[in-house]
Amino acid sequence: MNIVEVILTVSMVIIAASIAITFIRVVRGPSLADRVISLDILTIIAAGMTAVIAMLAGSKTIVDISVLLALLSFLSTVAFAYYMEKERGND
Amino acid sequence: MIEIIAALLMLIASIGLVRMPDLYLRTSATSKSSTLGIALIMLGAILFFRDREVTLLAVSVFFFIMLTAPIAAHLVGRIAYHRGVPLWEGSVVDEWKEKK
Repeated sequence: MNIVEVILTVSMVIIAASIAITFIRVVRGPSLADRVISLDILTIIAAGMTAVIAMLAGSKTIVDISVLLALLSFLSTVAFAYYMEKERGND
Repeated sequence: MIEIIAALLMLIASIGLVRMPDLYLRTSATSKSSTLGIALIMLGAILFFRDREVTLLAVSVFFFIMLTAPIAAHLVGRIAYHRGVPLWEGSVVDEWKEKK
């Protein structure tokens, strides 16, 4: 186990802890917009985690999933914002 | 080392998401910190693989997130203000309310 694997494993643990902390805000967010923002950040963190997984596995094709998650993050946030603007007022 | 710094930035983003008192402060804290975190992770991937395709994909991920994360945060914040999400009581200025 060389130094690169140690660094990647430590960063993997820290990213997993930050995903667990983000779920606290998803569960107890007071309004709908808090949950939308936390899911957006959760998708971006998952994209970074996928890149770390690609480096741990040594496989270049897993980086494609990171691109896919980065694209889906913006699309889902815009879709939720459109839905929130449609039914405005009963929060 | 780049990966550990990037993971710590992601951890700062999630701690700011939980600890900040207001929706608008939460969007401000998380969008900046997670953008720098994903930039450093992609820089680490470029230096790890040293390959043409991975470099192209990583640079495209970085530019896309750098373009869209502030837009998404601004969109959600604007709609949340119209829906009546309250500001923190320590906020000093609310220009939109004074204009009306």
